[in-house]
Amino acid sequence: MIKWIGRQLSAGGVSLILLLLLIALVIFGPLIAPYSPTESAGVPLSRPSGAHLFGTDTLGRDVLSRILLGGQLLLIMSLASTVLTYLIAIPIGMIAAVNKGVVDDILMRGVDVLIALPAMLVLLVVLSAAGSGIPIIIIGTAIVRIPLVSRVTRAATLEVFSSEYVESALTRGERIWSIFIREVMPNIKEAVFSTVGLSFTAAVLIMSSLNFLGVGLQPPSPDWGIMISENRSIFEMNPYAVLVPTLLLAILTVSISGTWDSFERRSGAKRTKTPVVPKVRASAR
Amino acid sequence: MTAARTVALSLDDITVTTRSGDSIVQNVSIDIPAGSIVGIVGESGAGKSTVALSTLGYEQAGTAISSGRMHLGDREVTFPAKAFVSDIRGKRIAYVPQEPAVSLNPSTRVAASLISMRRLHGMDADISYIRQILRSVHLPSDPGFLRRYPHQLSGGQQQRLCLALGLACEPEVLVLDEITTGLDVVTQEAILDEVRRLATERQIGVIYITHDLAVVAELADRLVVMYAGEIVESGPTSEVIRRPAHPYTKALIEAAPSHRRPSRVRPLDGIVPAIDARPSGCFFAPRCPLATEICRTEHPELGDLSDKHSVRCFHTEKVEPVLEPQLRETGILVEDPKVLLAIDELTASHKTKNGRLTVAESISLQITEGECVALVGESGSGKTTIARSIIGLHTFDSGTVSLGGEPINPAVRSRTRDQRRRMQFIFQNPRGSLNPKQTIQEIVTRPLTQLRGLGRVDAEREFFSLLDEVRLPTSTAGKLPRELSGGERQRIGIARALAAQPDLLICDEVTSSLDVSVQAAVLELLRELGRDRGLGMLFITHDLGVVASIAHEVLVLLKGRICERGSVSDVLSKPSHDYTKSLLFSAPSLQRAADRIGILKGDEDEDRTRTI
Repeated sequence: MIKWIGRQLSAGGVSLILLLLLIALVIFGPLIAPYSPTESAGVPLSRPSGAHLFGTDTLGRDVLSRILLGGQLLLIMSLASTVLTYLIAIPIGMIAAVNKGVVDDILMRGVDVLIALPAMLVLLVVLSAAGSGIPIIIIGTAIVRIPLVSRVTRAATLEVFSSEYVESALTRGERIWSIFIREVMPNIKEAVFSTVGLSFTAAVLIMSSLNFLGVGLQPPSPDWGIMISENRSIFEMNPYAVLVPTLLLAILTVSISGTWDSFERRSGAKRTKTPVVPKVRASAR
Repeated sequence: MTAARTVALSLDDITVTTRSGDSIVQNVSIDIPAGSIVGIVGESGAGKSTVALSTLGYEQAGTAISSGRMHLGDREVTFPAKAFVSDIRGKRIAYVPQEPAVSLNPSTRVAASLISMRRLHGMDADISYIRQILRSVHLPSDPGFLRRYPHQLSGGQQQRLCLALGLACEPEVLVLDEITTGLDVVTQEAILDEVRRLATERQIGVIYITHDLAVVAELADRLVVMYAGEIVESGPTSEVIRRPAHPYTKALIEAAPSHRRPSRVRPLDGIVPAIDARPSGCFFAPRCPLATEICRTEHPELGDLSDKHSVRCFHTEKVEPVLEPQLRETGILVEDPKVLLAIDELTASHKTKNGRLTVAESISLQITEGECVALVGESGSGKTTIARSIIGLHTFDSGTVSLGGEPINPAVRSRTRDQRRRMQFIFQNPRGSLNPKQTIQEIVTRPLTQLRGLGRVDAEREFFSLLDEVRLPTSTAGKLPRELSGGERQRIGIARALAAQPDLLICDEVTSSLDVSVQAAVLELLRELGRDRGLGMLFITHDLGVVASIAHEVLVLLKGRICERGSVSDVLSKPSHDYTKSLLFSAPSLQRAADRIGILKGDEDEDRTRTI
C-alpha cells in the first residue's frame, strides 16, 4: 500500500500538494486565526496549551495567529517582485541581443556590475538608506534576479535571431517589436521561463532574510522571517515560535521549485515528441 | 571481375526494431567481399545508417538488433548479441561517420588520436607506423602536422584523418557513412579515389553508404538499393545502373540531375512511409507507377534475377529501361523581357579579427523576366554573401543593386515596402526558415497581409490557392512545420515567397537538404513557376546537376570573383576556365559511370540497354 502511494506520487506531485496546502493556509489562515496577531492575548512565554496551540511570545501574542498571518505579505511581495524581474529583464535581454555594440555593452556591463556586487549587502545599504517601504523591498528584490534572467533571455534571443525565420521576417520589413512578439518570444519562452521556479524561490528567501535582518518589513507585522528573528532568544521556552515558521519557509521554497521543475519537465517532454517517429522517441526516454 | 573472392563480412537476415516492435530495418542480407566496395543507396528513412551501425553491433537509443547473424571471417555473431565483442568493433570493422568536424575530438591532436585508437585495441602505437598510416591516406606526416588539432585541418584533411583512424587497426571491413556529404566536389573526388585505392591495396571490404547514386555508381562494385528499411534491389553496379529491375531504382536514376547537358529531372511523387506507417503490401506501392492489386495486398520477397542480381518486385519484367533525360528549353520564354535586377560591381566583406575580409569582389549580373541565373560555387566562394547582399540582409561595401531600373538601398530596412515585396528569398534549410511555433497558415499569410496589405478574408482565400499552387493539400494549413517532411517544408518556403507576388526569387541552395526524388519535384515546381509567372530567379548552388536542370545563364564563382559566365549549354559543354573544367570533371555522374561501364562491358547485353 505504501509502495503504491509512493509510485503514484512523484516528487512534482508531492511538491504541488504541499504548495497548494501552503497557499490555502496563507489565504484562509487570517480567517481562522483565533487572536489578533499584533496584540497581547495571554501570559507572555506560555507553553503550548488548548488556548494557545503554539504558545505565546515575549509580548504574550498568540504564536499560531501570527503564523497564520505571517505568510501572506511575504508571498504576495515575492510574487510581485518575481513578475517585476521578468518585466524588466526580458526587454533588457532582447534589446541587448539585437543591438550588438554600444547598447549591448551598456546593458550587459550594467548587469555585470549587479552580478559582481553582493546582492544582500547592497540591499541592506539601500533599504537602510531609503527606508523599508514595501515598494522598495519589492523593487530591490526584483533587481537581484535581473542579471541572470536577462542573460538567459539574451542568449536565447541571440540564437533565435540568427535563425532564418527571423531573417525572413526582416526581409518583409517587420517592425522589431513585431519580430520580438511573433518570432522571438514563442521560441525563447521555454528557456526564459525555466528560471521562474528558481527566481521565485530566491525572492522568497531574500525577502525573509531582509525581514529577519530587520531591514525589511518591520515589527509588529506578523511575518515568518521577523518571528524567527524575534523569538530565537526564547527558543528554550517556546521552540515552536521559531521552528514552525522556519519549517514553513523551507516547505514553501522546496515546493515552489519542485512544482516548477516537474511542470517544466512535463511540458518539455510534450515538446520533444516528434510526430514522425513517435514510438522510437517514446521508448528512448 | 576477378574470380570468387573471400567474403570479408556477411550480414544475414538482420532485423532492427524499435522497442514498440516496429521494424526500422528488416531482413537485410549483404555480402561484402574482401577488396571490393558495396554501395548502399537510399533516401532518408531508408535505414542505411541503421544497417551500417548494426555491423558494429551498435544499437541506437530505443532500438535493438532483434534477429540476424553476422559472419566476419571465421567469427560468427548471432543477434540479439548479449555483449558485442570489442575486438570486432573498431578493430576488425571500422566505422567512419558522416561529419568529420564533429566526430573528431577537438582537443586531441592528430597523432594522439591515432595512437589512442591503436592502444585502445591493444596494439602497439609506434610513431613510424602512425606516419605510415597518415601517408597512406595522403596526409602529411611531419612532426608539425602530427601536433595539429582537428580545427587546424581543412574539411578534406579532416575526412582523411577519419579514414586514417578507421584504418589504424588494420580492419578487414570499413564502413563509410556518407563520408563525402558536405565536401566540395574536387575534395570528394580525391577522397573517393583514396577509398578505391585502399580497398584494392589492402583487400578491405568496404561498405559505402550514400544518398547520391552518382557517387556510388562510379565507385562501387555492387549496389544495394534500400527503401523503407529493406533491400529492394541488389546487384552489380553496371547492371543496376544500366537496367534497373525495380521501379524505385529506375525512379532514383531518373530523378538524379545530370550536369552533362541542360535537361529536366523526373520527380517521384510522395514520400518514404514512416516506420509505423508502412503499408501492408509492397512498401513502394503507393508511389509506384506499376502498382497493381497484388502490390497493395501482398509483400513481395527478394527474388533472384540472376545469381548476382536480385529484386523485390512483382512486376520486375514490366520495368522499362531508364528514360533518356528530356532536354529542356534553354531560352527565355518571355517575349521582350525587361531587366528586373541589375547588379553592378558589387563588393562585400565580412568583419574578422584582422580587419575586413573581402568575400565577393566586382560582381556584376543582370536578371530579366523569366530568366534563371545560376550562381555556382563551392562553400566559401562568397555566393551566399552575394545573395544576402542583394536581399538586404548583408550590407555590402560598394557597387549598386537596381531593381526595375532604380538603385535600391543596401539595407532591407530602408527599402520601400514595394521593393521588399518584389524580391523574395527562399532559404537553404526549410527546417530553420519556418518558425516552429507558427502554423503553416500563419507563416504563409503573414506576407499577404504585411507586404500586400490584404484583408483577412482575401488573405485566407489567397493562402489556399497558394497551397494548391505548390501542390500541398488544404489539410496542411493548421499543421506546424515539424509535422511536415523536408520537401513539404521547402514547398511552404516557396509558397511564402510567392505570397508576396514577387518579380524575382532568390533561391539559396534550396534543394541541398532534400532527397533526390524530392529535389527533383522542387526543381520542377520552381522551373514551372518561373515559366508560368515570368519570374526572374537567382539560383545559388554548388551542384552542377541542379544548374543543368533549371538555369538559363550560369556564373561560376571562384574565391569571390566570377571566373566564368555564359549560357548553360555553353558552360556545361564548353567550359573555358580551368576551375569550371575541374568542377565538371570531378562532379560524379551517372552517365559517365554508365558510359564507362558500357566501354568495359562491351555490347554483351544490347537487348535491354539504352544509354541513360
